[in-house]
Amino acid sequence: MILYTYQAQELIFPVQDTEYEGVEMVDIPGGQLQVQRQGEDNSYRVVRLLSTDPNLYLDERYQPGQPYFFDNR
Amino acid sequence: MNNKSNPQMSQDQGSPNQDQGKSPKEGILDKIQQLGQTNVPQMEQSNIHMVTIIGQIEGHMQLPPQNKTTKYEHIIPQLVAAEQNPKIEGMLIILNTVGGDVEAGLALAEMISSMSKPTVTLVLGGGHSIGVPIAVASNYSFIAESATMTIHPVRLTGLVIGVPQTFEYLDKMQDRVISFVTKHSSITEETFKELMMSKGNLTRDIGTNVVGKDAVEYGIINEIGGLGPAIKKLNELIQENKPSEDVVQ
Repeated sequence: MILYTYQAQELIFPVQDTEYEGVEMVDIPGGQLQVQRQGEDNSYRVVRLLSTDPNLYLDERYQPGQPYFFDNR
Repeated sequence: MNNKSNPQMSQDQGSPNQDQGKSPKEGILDKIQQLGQTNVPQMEQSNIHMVTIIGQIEGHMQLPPQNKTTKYEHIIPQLVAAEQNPKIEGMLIILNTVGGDVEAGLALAEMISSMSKPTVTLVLGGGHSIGVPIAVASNYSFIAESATMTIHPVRLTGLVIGVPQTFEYLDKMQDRVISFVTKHSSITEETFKELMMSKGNLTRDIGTNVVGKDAVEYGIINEIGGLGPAIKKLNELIQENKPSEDVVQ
């Protein structure tokens, strides 16, 4: 399919709400973590670390792909 | 790699002289999956903190999650915290952005330029459109030789009311960008406008794509360099910023 239109892409292909689901921001000492739920089993993995501290980026726990466990769930 | 740095692995391994079974291999495999490397170095408390401005600069509309975005609600609190924290002596701002929301971009640029602590920006890859005011907002700016900055007029997407006032509003918005850039770098308003409006540089579009060396020649960026020179300059600025100690009697 080739589209030739002045319409914005989002108007033709609306973003699915499900794409926003499962992504959460978690506060950690020194910054925030963006975590994403993996499948059905309620396990989370780190997507991105948001911090200005360069040392936190060296912390193994905050590496992208690391499993993340909520304390209160 | 050093197994002692990972308690989980050394537990699985038992005695180091026993057969190097599956568990350490699995541990390494797991790490490779996570970051593509086996170990990360440790270092002491850093007096330099850094902010990355990547992807699109997000405005009031949340972009779909497949977009890589820099959100002002993330960056602004980080800058406030860095300004407040006495242990942080300098900020490094790294840019690789395609541009984005004018007001969010200008907000970040104003925040960076009004910090009392020394700031250094480093443009890698691209610092396009609204990335330009952010790149010039610091005390000293660097650009990688291969990095580019696209300077072009401000434009709107979405529904626009087709009245002259819309055009005037857009023109005023553009003036804010121009005045910020000319105030915080040595490029003249005339040259910047010329780059912004020139034809024939971008295919079927107006504007100019300024590559590393040209950005320095036009006076937008201070110097060509990478991470090493940027950190070195920041350390110099930190030293200058410190109250001199030899006045003690």
